[in-house]
Amino acid sequence: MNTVDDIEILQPGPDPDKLERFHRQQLSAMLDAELSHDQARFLRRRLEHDAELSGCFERWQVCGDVLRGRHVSLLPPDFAERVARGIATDGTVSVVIADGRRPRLLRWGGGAALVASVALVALFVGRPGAVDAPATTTPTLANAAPVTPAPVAIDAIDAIADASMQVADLQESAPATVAAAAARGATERASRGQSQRAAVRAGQGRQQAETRAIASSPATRAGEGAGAHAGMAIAMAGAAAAETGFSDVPAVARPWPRASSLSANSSFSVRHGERFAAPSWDARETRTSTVLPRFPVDPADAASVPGASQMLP
Amino acid sequence: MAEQSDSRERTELDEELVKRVQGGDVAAFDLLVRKYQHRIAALIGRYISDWGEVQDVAQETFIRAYRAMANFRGDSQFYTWLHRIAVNTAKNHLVAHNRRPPTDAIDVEDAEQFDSSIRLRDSDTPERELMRQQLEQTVMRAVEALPEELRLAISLREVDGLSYEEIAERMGCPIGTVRSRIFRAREAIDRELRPLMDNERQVERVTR
Repeated sequence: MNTVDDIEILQPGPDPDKLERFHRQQLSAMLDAELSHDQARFLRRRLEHDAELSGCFERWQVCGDVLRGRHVSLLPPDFAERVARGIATDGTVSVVIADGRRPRLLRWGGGAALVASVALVALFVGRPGAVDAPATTTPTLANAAPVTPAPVAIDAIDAIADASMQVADLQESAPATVAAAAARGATERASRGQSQRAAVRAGQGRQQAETRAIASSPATRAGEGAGAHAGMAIAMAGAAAAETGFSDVPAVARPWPRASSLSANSSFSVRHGERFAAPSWDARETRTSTVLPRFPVDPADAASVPGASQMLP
Repeated sequence: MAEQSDSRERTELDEELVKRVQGGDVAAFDLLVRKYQHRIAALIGRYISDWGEVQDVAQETFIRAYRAMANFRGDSQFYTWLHRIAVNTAKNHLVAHNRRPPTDAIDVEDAEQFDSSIRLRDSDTPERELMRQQLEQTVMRAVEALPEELRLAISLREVDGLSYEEIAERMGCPIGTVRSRIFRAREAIDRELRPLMDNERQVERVTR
């Protein structure tokens, strides 16, 4: 028994040569699966960047294969690196393919975004009715019909979508007139208070008939852009709304309240005044209720309803 | 003999490396490549004569193995699984180049022994055959030149596949002594083997 063998085993020293020898000792033990898991883990980490140690690992494998009588053919020293590059290139190829597809997607996506933005601008900015509408009637309209604008505008927008579906079937018809017809149908649906989709199905035949009739006129073939369609549809929807009793269109067709169109008495403002009449979901129901407190509480109404004032804080 | 050499401990090392590769550790696969590349090259050389094509097919074999590593469940040993991939890759390479692959299936062990009678073709060039003989002779001479305790320890470990504990019992010494003797034996063999491998690779690089 040689005691020197035991003393020099796995004792790292400050000398770099001794440290390398210590690592090679650990490598020899790891090849024989005689190294602890923690030490083997650290040694594998070292093998990742220690070319000398990994070369030693490779040569000792060859030595063992030769001693066991196995057939070996020595590959170039950079073969493992070539394999690693091949694996990395394989991953890089997929990334490159993905990058090659990305501009195409961006191109189509950019076009779609451009069309959507143009349609949006045409929908909310390029409305000819808003320019032609008299400015003096806007506050009056806002006071007269405080609740109805938003549903009418929503119906008009839905009508644009429905009209675009119908345009696909009617190649000869002008899209603006289709949108106008659909917007007119939307106003009719709004007045009836029916479901939008059900109304589209019910009025489809009539709308198509109107569309064909209007499409025959040459003046309606002017616009072809989607934004023009939307703007015309909004304008026509406003006109149709005027027929149903709302005299001023521009403020009605807007899907959200505009600050300039809202007066102090409009339903979108919060005010604690005497003439505060809105919001009011159902005025008759609140007046007949004797149990629930009414909101907002108007002093005049509180006086007319017995017991209501007692529930006020 | 091959079964003895593929001992439980060596299989455990492969299993550990395979688990790490399946967990996304590419460096562990690099160790598997370094461990088996020369054996795989020799195996592919049984099917393909051109040394350049052997290298390409060997590289493709390892890349395929890396891609399919997630499908390896450990039902067989890793090298057995790698052996199948190498054989299939070599056959596919021959078919792709309008060459008929051999119909005889090569056993994993028979394909790797020097004295195997089932040799599909003597594809090695005289230069490569000479290099192989020099490699064998260098290792054998280095082992014969070892002191008796080192030669016995490395032989019990590499040839017979005994564990350190079994070798310690056989030689009547502590396990630490066995570990040191095996390490010193490898160092002594490596001192003779390294110049040869570096020289052969340099010659191969020049002639390639």
